[in-house]
Amino acid sequence: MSESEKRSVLIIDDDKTIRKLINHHLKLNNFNTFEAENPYQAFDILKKEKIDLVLSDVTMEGMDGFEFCQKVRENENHRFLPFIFVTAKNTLEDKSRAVESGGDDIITKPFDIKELILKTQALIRRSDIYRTYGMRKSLEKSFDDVTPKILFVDDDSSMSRLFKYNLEKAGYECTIASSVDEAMFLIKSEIPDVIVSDIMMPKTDGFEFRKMILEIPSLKDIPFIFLTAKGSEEDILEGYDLGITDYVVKTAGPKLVVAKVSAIIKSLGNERKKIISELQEATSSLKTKVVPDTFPVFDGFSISHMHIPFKGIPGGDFLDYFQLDDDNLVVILGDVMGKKWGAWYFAYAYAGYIRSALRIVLQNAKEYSPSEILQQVNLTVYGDTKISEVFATLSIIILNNKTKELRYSGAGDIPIIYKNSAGDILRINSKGLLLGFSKIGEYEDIILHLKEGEQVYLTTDGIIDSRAKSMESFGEHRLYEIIKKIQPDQNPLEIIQKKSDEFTQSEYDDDVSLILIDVKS
Amino acid sequence: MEFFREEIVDVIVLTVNLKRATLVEAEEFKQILINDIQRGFKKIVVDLSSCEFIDSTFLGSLVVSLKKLTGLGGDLRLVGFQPAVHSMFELTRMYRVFESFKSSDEAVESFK
Repeated sequence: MSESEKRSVLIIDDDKTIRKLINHHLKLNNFNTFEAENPYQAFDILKKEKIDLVLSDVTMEGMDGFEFCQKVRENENHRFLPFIFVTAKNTLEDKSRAVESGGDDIITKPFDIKELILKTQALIRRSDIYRTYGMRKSLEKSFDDVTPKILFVDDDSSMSRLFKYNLEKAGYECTIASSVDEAMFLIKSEIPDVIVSDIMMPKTDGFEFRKMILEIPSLKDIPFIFLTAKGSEEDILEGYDLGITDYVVKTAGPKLVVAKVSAIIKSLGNERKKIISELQEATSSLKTKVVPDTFPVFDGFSISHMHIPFKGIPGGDFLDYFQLDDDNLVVILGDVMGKKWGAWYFAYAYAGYIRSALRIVLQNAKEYSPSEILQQVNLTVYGDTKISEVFATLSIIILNNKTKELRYSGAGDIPIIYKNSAGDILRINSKGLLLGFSKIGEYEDIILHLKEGEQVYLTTDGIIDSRAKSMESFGEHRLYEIIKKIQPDQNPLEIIQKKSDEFTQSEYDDDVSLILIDVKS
Repeated sequence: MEFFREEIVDVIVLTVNLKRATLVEAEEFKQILINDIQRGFKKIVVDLSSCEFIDSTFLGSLVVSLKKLTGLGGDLRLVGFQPAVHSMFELTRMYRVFESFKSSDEAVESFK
């Protein structure tokens, strides 16, 4: 495991021996470690370093661990930072304070070092899943900027009405269910943003309800708040064992519920803003765009493209043109696997990689070869641990306007489409593997000698995998038929877009990209 | 159950009970595979017989797992390509890196 892959754990304890002991074992288990004697040093480290998990003592001078945890949670960036207390205190009151202050788990001294390592690993993994899966799902939803929906589950109808009134007054949409059965039924037709549920209910109680929700992957990450009648510690602890987001004592009244719901919704919104700004930073630092605004001007060819980002959000497709010299132009079309948030980010990274790979190849190459460029990009991607789990398809074409020669090499891409002067549609297949999969991508150059009036199309899977309402796929064959019928006086991109819009009723599951190379006289 | 997991001695057989396996399920699917790999399993069979379609994100999960496994000297083998799934593997040339079998018994047997 390389340094950059290692996870960082912050250990806070005023006892040096304990710090060293934990430190030693974490390092043996491939963690990076930071030590702090007291909360103040810990705040400094949290500010400077990227910490993945905190292990904190409770009894410390100046500020105790509970207070420290609360302060850490006040920082928006650390709201979800995994936090474990390591303490000799073991009463129910301590456990409940640990939970109240925002801790995720408690390990009691004297502790079993194996248990500590296991809990650390488990908690980091859980937060990873939450970050990459749960959070992203919530983000996608919040992108649509609709009124947040709350599902309120309580068998007491007067209570429900009171809360519904207050939640709606605060600007939320609130749906009431009087039983768990009804709640499960409602969830099927509309997934809420937050669930608030009573615990004591006839037939199925709140705990059972929570367990049912946890079993359904698409629902398990929805923030969940328990309403408890008496706020007994056992109830609260059992609730947190089930991974709830928060709990409210009924007698505290609807205002507190509204406040907690608002805080949760706001934190989802902030997380989204943070990611957008990170993406924008990444873009400006790479100084590259995923799709150019204009078509390249290149003698002897007319090159144009269409690109429809999925639901208007930039996705995994990227295309680029790069003039090598007076006679040679590179045309690039790629698709990063995965969609939306993740793919968008990596599409930028890939576009940057390809540019730098182009520079390297250009400096060394005697002859322009797309497969050499691919191999260079593949090597860089393969060796970069940050993106080693992200794969991309890529088509690279180099056009020469003196010889009218087209050199093509592909990595896991959709075969390019060649409409020759006889009007035949030829499917040009490359053999190369997806970028980043193996060190040797087996890329090869395919050379076409183009003639006036001929056309070459490049596309990603967006059009081909798109579906009609009947679930039928558009497929390669349909695209070929359309291209075959296109007349010289028609605009191919317009026609293809019109036909695929008709087929899918303009609803796509992915980015749609198409590049057209037209050979002029 | 979207995914059915079975241990046959040292081979994991993961059956995907989805007509359309897409980005919605890809992350959970990947986590199941990664968990098994982290637990030390090196021989995995994924049964796609029920799948009429898989999208590129779901394929990505298979590819990530295969990449991890081959790095550890293991392998991930596939079972049951329906036509659209077959063409997806063909389009991306991934049929060249995944070994595929007609039945999960055959795939399990191939590990012995």
